[in-house]
Amino acid sequence: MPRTLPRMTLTTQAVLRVLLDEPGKQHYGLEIGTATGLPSGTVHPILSRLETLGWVDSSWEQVDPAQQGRPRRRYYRLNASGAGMARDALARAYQSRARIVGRLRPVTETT
Amino acid sequence: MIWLRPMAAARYLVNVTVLVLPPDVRDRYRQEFYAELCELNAFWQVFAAADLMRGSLALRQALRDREVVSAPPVAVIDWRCRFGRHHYLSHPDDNPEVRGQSVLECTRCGKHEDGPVAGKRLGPAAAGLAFPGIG
Repeated sequence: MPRTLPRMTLTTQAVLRVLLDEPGKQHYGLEIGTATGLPSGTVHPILSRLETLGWVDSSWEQVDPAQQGRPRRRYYRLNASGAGMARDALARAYQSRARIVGRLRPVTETT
Repeated sequence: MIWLRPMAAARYLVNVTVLVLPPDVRDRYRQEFYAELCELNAFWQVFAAADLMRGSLALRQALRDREVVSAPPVAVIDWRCRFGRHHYLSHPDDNPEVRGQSVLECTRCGKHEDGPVAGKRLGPAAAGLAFPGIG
């Protein structure tokens, strides 16, 4: 059965947070890697999974490489439905983490 | 400084990296990785390319998941039908040219057989009771 949610690992959450900072903005892999502190080898599989799930759209930069003096970048952007689902998924992941942290925290008795 | 192409060692590593990816996306990722490496200096290009190589298996797995998601569902054929033991039921044929006749359809796999000749009773094969080659 196809998955409808990515595995919400800490790295996936970090990538989604960067993409959600400005949902309409296009980002490229190296930029996301720099913003999250993750290496490119980690960022690209996550972007690929998000693209498979239909959360992220990707497209080539519309520039002339000779004029720009660099190759075209591949840009990624959260689409409207993906942004909504990403927010929900991040909120659930945060609640889950908060619950675990709450259980681990020692109970302090007040007298 | 931004380059038009990454240095040779980085290009070599990227070319090896994309070899493990499905053939239809190799060119896309090669161009994408080249574009990113061009923004780094020569020293970091090799490190970044090596890191891309480290993540290539994870990327391949992610791309395989894409194939699973987009693949059409495969019909599972009942093992009894594989051995020719269909479970036929007779129902009227929808074809107007053969109006009045019936057609046999397997309830498990949907295989069609010619309907029983008028006046002839359904044999054991039609009832799904026959062994292959018998009856």
